[in-house]
Amino acid sequence: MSRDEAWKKWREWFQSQGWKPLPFQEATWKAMEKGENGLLSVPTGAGKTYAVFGSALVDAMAHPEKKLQVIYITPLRALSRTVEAALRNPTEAISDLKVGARTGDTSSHTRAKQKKEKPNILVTTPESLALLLSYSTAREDFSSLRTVIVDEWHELLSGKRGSLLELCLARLRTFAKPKIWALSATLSNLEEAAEAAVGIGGKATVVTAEIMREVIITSVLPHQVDKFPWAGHLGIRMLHQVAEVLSDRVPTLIFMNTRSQAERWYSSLLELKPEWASRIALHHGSLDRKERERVELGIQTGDLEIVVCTSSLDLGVDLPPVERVMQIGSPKGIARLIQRAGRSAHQPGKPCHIFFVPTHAFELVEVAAARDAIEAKQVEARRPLQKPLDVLTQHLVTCALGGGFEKEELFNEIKTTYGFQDLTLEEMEWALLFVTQGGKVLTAYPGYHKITLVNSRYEVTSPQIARIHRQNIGTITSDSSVVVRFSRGKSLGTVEESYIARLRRGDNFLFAGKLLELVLVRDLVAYVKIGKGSAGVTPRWSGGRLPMSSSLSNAVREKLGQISDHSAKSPEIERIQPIVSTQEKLSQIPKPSECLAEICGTRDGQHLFLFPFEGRLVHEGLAALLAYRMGQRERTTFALAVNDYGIEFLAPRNYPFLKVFDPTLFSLEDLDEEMNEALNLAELARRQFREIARISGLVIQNYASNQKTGRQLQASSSLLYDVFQRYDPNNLLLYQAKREVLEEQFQKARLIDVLERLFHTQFILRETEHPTPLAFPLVAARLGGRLLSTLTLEERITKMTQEWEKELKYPSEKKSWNYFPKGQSTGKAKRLSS
Amino acid sequence: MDEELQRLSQVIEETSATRIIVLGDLIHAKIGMTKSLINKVAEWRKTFSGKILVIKGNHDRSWKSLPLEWNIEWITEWNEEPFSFSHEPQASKDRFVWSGHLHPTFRVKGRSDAIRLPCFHVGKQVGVLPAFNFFTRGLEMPRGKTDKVYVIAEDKVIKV
Repeated sequence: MSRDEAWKKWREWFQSQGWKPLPFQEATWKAMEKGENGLLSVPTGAGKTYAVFGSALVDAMAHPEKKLQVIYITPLRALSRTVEAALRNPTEAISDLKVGARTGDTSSHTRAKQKKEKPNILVTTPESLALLLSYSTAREDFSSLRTVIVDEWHELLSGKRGSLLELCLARLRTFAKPKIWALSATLSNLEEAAEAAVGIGGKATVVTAEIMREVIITSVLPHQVDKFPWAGHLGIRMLHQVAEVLSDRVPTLIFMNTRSQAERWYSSLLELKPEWASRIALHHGSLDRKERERVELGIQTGDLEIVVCTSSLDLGVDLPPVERVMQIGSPKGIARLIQRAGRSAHQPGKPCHIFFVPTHAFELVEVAAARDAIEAKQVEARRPLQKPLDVLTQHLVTCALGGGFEKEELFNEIKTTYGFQDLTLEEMEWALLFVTQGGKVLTAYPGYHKITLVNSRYEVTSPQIARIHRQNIGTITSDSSVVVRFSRGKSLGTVEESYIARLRRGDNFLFAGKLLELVLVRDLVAYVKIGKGSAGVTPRWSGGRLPMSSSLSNAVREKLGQISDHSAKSPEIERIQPIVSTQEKLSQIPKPSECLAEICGTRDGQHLFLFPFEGRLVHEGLAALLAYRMGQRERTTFALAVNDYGIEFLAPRNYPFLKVFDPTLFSLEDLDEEMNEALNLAELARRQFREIARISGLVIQNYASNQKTGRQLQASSSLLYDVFQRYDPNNLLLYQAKREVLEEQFQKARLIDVLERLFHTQFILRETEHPTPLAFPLVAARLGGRLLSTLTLEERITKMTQEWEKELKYPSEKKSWNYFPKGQSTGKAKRLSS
Repeated sequence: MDEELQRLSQVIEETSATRIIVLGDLIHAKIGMTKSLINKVAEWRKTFSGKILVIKGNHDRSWKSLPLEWNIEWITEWNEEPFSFSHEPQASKDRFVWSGHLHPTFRVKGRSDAIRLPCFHVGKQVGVLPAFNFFTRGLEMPRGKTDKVYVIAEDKVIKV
């Protein structure tokens, strides 16, 4: 079929659906027709799938082949089925090409069929693509590939899944030179994202559409703000008001920030309104796939009117009946808020409406700030990772399996990826040594001799290594999860092993919207029955809470500035006025050019509160660094607590904070060494090393029939870490572990910017009689916080045992102090400047 | 490995010990039994003329015997007035028991400070020793009324 004919058919089909091509769709078709690579960024639901697929399909129709011509990569297995259906529609209507899907869920039956009769258009995930590249026939299988489409690229971009995909795309470019197009939500670094997708030197066309829908945010304001908590993240106190909003039966998605919060809200709503049982549902990533699919279908058919969900519904399938979106708790990022708001009433051009429900008082400031940031289009950036070597070592084995490789050829190919463009020959040599003989110290173990040099080509010769590698391909490492299942069989979903380990037989917990009692745990399955009595605990999944993003942090500091000179006008700020007044009476609200610090003594000791408003992760790094530096000036042990707004340093009574605190604490000098000391980086890196050991194939997670539990995995990766520390301290994976801790857990790049800002800022130092409204949440959050000591171990132990003796002599009264002072503040202000 | 053997030699020298009783878990995993390790231990064994008894631990079960050149007695339990020695802590009626297995640690806690350290955990009937090497992390133990706990703080042992 000629190209013109194919285009004509495509356009006819498009019109037959009742659609008219939008300008961005025309632009994309045109760019792809010219053979350009690129990136398309438009909001969800605008029609981006057909914008890229149209041209891909036409191109495939014009070059009929019995082989694979188009690959469509989606980050979520769960989405692949919907995508497959969306692609099949036009494909079957206008051509005789075949659409297939290949993901971790694909049955062996289907896989065998695909081998015989190859699909022309394949929907797959990054991991399944890597697996396909590990077959010896890979070069041949992909030789006719013409187009690769990467969906939701922003989701993959800044993680190791993105790095792995960059490497796989480079492989595909070598095999067949396909056009590559990425689809992405709004980012502030679209050019960079595009380059990461198409590779270095490949020109990328960026198509965006100025059809950003207006976002209207309405806050559900707490009736009485003085009874509203100053800290917390559940927001159950707003239950009645939320139920009131929901009673109009408008189909609503209620977004939560964590899975445990979703569980709590779901069961509380049901308890309050039992009559809603048939039209309310719960959706989060840990629930059984069947249950999630049932809920998604229920939304589409309109049977379900209220769905309590997490980021599990951020992406993916259009849910047309949804007319309203609610967000409980601060979304912590601007892009995220826009994404979620966009889930309501998908109609291009029309505004989207989101209801915001605060979980504590200061979130009202966050949302007022977010509104400004959206108006100013200050979305966040997502940066690709820089050469994660664990991913590289895995990829080397994949390439050796998939037909083998020559060193120089593959090195040059890898250097065309954005993430590995700075890879040095030494690093490549090191990685090769690592996979050929286990690096320097593991030479004695044949399991680490994964690939072999045969006539200047690297290949895998052992079938056992091939099998194990294929079973463990990919970079998704979750804490190993335990399936929750009724004793009689029905599976409810999964929770993390570390959580189940804390429960005992007979304990009640809330999961999948049900009160369950733990009966037995065996082989990574937790058997449960319906529990009686009261809910004990709700599972807490790790990694649930995100820090406030830099864009939102900026906006919050601006907003506080407006509050301090009384120019901020919005319903949220009006409502929070009583708390603002208390804060102003006791201390102050800082302007953007200032940083507030408060010193306060309680029976716990001497507190220093510092409020940079830079998000939790940056604060953690900053807290450790400042504690270390203050501790050098006057030795002590600090207990540290952080939240998105500030840091608390708690020292024993009479600690002279006034003497040790000054702007030079924020100097960039000796930053690396002091961070290393302050954070006990070696210890933190040990934990990070678990993931690296898994991805680089040092530790095997899946054997054919026996899954290692997370604890066993931790034990062996921890042992390897110690061995490397001692006998191979220059092992590049150790450096990587430390780098990842600094960059991911403490956002080092951002931390440096913050230190620079604070070094030149004006500090306002206040002594207060009680913790202020800003400080109080930190006092409440301290439990389980970090400690930092500049005393010797012996001194610390002596000090602690002395405290016990005092306690025995003077048993302490119940812990309580009055947070609302009756009289005027006696706080004195002292200004410091650098 | 080298460091543990060195430390062991040092302890022997300081105490003039004539016998060593190991409370189990000599070999963590099969994969660790390499030729070079067997040779290293054999070399070291020549420097100590006393007897070495090893009580089999749960990690040692896969081993029928130990290399001959190590010259180690491989037993399941050992009694000797006034003590009894076992791998897993188990009270006995008539004797005080020394055991290993748990690699006990203890959490020292103050008002604003807390730290977890390996310890000697000595109860009325059973005493549990910490692991000899540093790679092993263990179980956090509570302290009962009659228990005595000695934590290892770098190069010191401190009673808490």
